[in-house]
Amino acid sequence: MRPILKANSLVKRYGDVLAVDDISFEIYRGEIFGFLGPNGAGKTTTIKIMSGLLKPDKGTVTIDSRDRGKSIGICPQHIVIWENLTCLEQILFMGKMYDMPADVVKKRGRELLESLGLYGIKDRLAKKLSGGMQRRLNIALALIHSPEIVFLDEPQAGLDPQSRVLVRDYIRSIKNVTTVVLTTHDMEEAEKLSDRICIIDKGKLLVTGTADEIIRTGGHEDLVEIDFSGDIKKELYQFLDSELISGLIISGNRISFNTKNSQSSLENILKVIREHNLKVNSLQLRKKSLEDIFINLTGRSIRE
Amino acid sequence: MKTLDCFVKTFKENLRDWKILILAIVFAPFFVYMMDMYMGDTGSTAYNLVLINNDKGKFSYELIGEWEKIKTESGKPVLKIRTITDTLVAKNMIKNKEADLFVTIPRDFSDSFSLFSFNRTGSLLPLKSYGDQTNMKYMVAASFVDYTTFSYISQKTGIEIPINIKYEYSGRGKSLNEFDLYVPALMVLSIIMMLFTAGASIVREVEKDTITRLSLSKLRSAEFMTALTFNQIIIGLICLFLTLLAAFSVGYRTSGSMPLLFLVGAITCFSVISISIITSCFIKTMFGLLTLGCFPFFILMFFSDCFLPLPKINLLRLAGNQVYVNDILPTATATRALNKILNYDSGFSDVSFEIFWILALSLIYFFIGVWLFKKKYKY
Repeated sequence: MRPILKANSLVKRYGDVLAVDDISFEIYRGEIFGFLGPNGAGKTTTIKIMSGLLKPDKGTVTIDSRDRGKSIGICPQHIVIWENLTCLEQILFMGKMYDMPADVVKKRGRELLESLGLYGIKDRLAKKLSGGMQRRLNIALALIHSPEIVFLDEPQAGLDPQSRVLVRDYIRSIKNVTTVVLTTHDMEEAEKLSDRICIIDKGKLLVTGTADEIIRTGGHEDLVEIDFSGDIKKELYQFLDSELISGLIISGNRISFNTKNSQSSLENILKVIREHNLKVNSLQLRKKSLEDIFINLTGRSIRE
Repeated sequence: MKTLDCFVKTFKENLRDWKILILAIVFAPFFVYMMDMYMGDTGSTAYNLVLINNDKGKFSYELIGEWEKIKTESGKPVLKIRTITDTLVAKNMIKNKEADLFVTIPRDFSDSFSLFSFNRTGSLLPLKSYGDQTNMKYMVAASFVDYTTFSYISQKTGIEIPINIKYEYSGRGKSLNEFDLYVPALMVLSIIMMLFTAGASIVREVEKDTITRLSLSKLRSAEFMTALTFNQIIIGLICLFLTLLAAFSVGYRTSGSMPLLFLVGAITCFSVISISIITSCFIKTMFGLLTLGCFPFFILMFFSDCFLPLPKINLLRLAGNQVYVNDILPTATATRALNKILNYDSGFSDVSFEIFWILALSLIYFFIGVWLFKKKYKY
């Protein structure tokens, strides 16, 4: 596949803070590229650099485009709309700002508003729309000029389930004509939508690949989660030292760990539980998810 | 075409976000009515004279009668005379600006007048005049009193004063009162209010980050600024028109050229908008605009000869015209030009230098504004 965007050794500093630390990746034409990271990981800065809104201190971004001026669309995390214009007015205005002919922009505007469930309220002032409607309008404004690549920064934040499905389906529907770079904190959403995902943290790119590939980087391990009704007793510690498990996390009366051999591990731990008459509220054995890998890679600490 | 679309969009937004627009539009007309309220019901200026008459003879009363006869063209008395008996009270009235001039007529004024007038013996007892030199009205009131007193004495004694001063009024053939002189300043004030509406049009885009959408599009900074400028010029001219209408409604009259007035008004709007563009490049929120934005507003208001007459400091001479330091604010030159047009019926040739100067400054400020804007919001 031909890359539409190549980021090469991007570095960006804000004073002493290294927001983007030597990041390189490629985004292919027609894919949905999930861009994941905790708060403050450097996602928005990287997107700003890719979209040309911010100059990197080092590195280059190359976009393979027919018309550089029309190639990029951006839907920021916060709602960026003209509150005192109607939905239709601002859609038409933005189209004209991209030199789109009046008839084309009208047709495209109608299509977009219909697809995003806004056509029925096209003449309503944006400030009088609900939060979800404003978010959908935010997306429409990023796409009016049919950009070759669109950056959607948490487009589904604050949407109700119906709107989420609508937006998700719409994003899927445009991927063949528009390359989508998607940032989200919703791992399930990222897994469902993205063809490829990259995870960044503290300005560094940690991993890139398909969701399956990334999950496999965590090894062929299963995840066991046990909730005890009382405190975890020291008798368990002997078992927890076992070589069968890894990535142990003890949090209150809950433990979770990875295991390569789930059958043996479970047999052992159930034996300990029975011997010491421990009470278990729940026990879960499951495959690792993208979120588990994300937490493994970026840690559990809360970010500012 | 993008400029036109941007113009239409900004115009709609201005109409729909009407609070700042209303503030800008009604501010100067409101000032017109306030000024009118303080300067008399017809806008004529009256001077408050506080008098202590220690004389009991007829001449002092005749003299006071002469002072009372001084009238404006509309027939209103120029001097509002109040007679009291306590010097301390009179001096306090001067201090508190309740009176502009305090005159004391000495006890034997009429006797000395009789002796001098009929026998040519002795000398006239002097009148005492007291006032605050920093109060401009003091000098004017004193000059009215002096002139009338000399005329009365000359008439009564038959003594010809060796020189007689004939007072003629500049401008449109009648005396200008203080309100008349404030009208051009109020016109400029209405335009200075554009700092807020023009600023709001930019800052709103920055605050809501829609500027990012615009900067990613094919709209150039210069196109955006041009649309904004034309938009604001229209609002500025509406403000100017309403201010003029308010002045007319309280009795102000001018025979100055209206096309010339609106031409100077439009160029002045351009200059204020240009300054607003520069200001807005340092402000990110509407709150900032309404707080920090007051700084350039007050500079323009106070250093443009709008309300405070400032001493003139020469800057340079250009094509035979003196340019003063505060002329670097285009509104200072505009106040002068509008005064010439409205109160002195000046034509295009009389204000051509002012027009050139305001336009030149506006262009300089506009290009600085566009450059700063581009630097800040365009990659």
